[in-house]
Amino acid sequence: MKNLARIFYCFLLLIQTNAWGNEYINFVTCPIVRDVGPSVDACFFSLYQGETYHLNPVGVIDWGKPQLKHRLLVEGEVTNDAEFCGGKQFHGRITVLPELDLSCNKYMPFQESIVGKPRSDKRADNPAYGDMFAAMRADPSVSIQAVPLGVPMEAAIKEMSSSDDRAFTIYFPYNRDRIDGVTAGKLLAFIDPERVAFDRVEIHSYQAQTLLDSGERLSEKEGMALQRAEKLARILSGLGISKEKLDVFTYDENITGKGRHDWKNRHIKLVLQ
Amino acid sequence: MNRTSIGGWRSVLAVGTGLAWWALADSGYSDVSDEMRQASAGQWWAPGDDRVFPEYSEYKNTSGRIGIINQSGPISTKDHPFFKPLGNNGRACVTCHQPSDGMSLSVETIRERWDATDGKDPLFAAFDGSNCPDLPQGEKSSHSLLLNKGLIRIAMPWPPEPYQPDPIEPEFDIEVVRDPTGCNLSEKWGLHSNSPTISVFRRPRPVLNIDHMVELPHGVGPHNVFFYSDKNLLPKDPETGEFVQGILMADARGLTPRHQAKDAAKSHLELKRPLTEKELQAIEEFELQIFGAQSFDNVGRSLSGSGTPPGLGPQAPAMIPRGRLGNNPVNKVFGDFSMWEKADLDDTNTADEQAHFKASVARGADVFFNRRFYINDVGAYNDKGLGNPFKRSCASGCHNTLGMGMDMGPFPMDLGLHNYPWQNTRDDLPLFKVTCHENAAPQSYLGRVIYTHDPGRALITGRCRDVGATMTQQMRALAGRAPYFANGSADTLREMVDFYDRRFNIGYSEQEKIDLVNFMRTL
Repeated sequence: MKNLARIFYCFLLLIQTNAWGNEYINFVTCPIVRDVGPSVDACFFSLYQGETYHLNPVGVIDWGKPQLKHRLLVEGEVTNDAEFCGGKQFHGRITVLPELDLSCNKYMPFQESIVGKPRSDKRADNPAYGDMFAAMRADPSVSIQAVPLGVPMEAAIKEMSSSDDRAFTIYFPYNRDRIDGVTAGKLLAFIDPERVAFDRVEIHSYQAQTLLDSGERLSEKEGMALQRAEKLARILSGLGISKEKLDVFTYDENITGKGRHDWKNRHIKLVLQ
Repeated sequence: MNRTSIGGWRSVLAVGTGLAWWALADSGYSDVSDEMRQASAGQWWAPGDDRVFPEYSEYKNTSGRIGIINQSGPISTKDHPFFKPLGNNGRACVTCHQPSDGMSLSVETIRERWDATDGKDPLFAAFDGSNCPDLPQGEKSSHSLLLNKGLIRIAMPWPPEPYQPDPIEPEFDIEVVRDPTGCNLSEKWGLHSNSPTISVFRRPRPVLNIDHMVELPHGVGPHNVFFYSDKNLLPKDPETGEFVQGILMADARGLTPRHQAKDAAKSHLELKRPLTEKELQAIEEFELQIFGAQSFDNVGRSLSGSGTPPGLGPQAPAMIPRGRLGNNPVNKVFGDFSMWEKADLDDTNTADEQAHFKASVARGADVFFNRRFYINDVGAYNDKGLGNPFKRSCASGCHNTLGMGMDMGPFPMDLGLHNYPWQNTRDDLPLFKVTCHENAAPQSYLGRVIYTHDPGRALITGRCRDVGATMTQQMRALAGRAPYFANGSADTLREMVDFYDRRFNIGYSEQEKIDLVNFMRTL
């Protein structure tokens, strides 16, 4: 019986591996925090089926980092990027689950083999600071004048500003209506009438299910699509688009999970008309 | 008090570049006369006094002197609505926002007023200057929270009265577990009265450098429009429709100086009519041009001029750009302190004590900016996307606003000041039990049942995850306005440091604690 279960489990793993050999991962875990040096932030990883995974998806900023005392839903596709935080990296999303789980409480002390780097904007050798240190030595008051620094999301926002896109998709964490900072910035650029003219905005809001590697299906709560749509409508209205110009469509059936980037199904599509 | 000339003030403020300012600032303080310092030291500004509020004044405190800049020039206080008693209880705004106390109110001053007036000063008005209005007035025990911890009663309607356009549906039930003041179970004033009310007790926040508090965050877009936390939009000023910060008040209910003035006039001044437009304008204009900081330290001596850290002294908050992050290697919140690192240790003309103090302040600034520690389990903060825990210093964590040291986030968080289990034992404060509804998101690190001395922001939003959350304060003029924290739980700066050391298991050394205290007392 045990062997049968193992075979079935291996079969499941096999069908979740795509033709290019990339591996999809969908699991709920306790994050573990790792100290990577005294002057840098900690990172999070997880042990799952004998592998270590870094728990911040590649290229995702401000999605909502893992939290001790909470379990974490991981949905991703493992990449060939260099290991980080002592673990493999993945494209995808993480969601902090809201209920307390006090068993998620593990810290890993600093190991010299895994050392983090400070963010570039926190390092004195960042070219953005130019000759400010020399200027500061000559005139200490430079230190209380504002340093114009770029923000991580600037490039993404600029890209949206220069496009003529009339559709924009916003992805959400599981069972939540929070958009991330980069998306919020892009949203501001997307609805800027200076970029493209529009009369109306369509909001198409969806909710979805996630198929875990274990075979369990996590379904978003009833009304999640509506909750997301209402929040976004309030935001758009607050940004100056009158409610009369908003056409809201909600799709209340959870889109069936397939275990491959199910997070993409939890989304709102905005269309400018 | 007479206006005192401090040559070059106006021209100093008009200069935008650091080099020019740095040179000119030196001249500002040398002209402050000892006579003026003496004249203003420790003086109580009584409501309705016919006096002149000078362009610049200094007041003694235990560490030295605080300097207050009245940027628009001298004003007569006689009919000014900030200084004039407007309501029925004889108080004015200035009653709780005294220049000598960094435009807040220290316990030392409160006790002096009690002794000077035998408890008859309007400050001790029954409505909120006592533990509860139905206690026998005039007895010290009825005013113990004000006399011991500088706490004013804040009467919050329950369920929450919407401060935003949308009606509030509370996500939790609240019970009174312990009621040492008697006010929360009072038939007339309590939770089960005809006007259900929750009484919490908070410190008056300084009406100083307010111009920094009303500026939207720059350079961290899209947070100049969106909440840092959950990407809802920032609130809007109901009068102008413009986005506003929410960092003026402990629970962020008063979004603008005008909004706060209306709220305070109705409650603390017991004014039965709305403030007139003229009064509102005068109060707002006054508040937006008052700047200040510690100007002189009894050991470190002058905190302005060449050779001193540029972020110190009262002119610094007037000059420093508003709403900027100070968490990078150039902008270290309060700027460069390197000139004091080995301050005058070899200078035979300087007393050792002064030199060592300056070096200690510089080390404290370094600990404040660079000493990282794990920040964990802070509700409405770690759960904003930052992770739990994350590693930051004081400066790069919650005290990141350039020149001021409040959180530019913005919005309140649960540092453990009000909620169990982090709070120091406070038998003098009411204790509430909050039970979150099943369909609500729980408080991120305390769950669905929370014991708290003050539900904080949750009394405004009705949200479970906001229970116990209050807004971090600016760090200016600390030496003149003890005790600290919204509930006055730290009697001294050392107790404040000890709280954080314990709360976040930082492990500061004794020297680091001393250095941090010395640093903070110079701000």
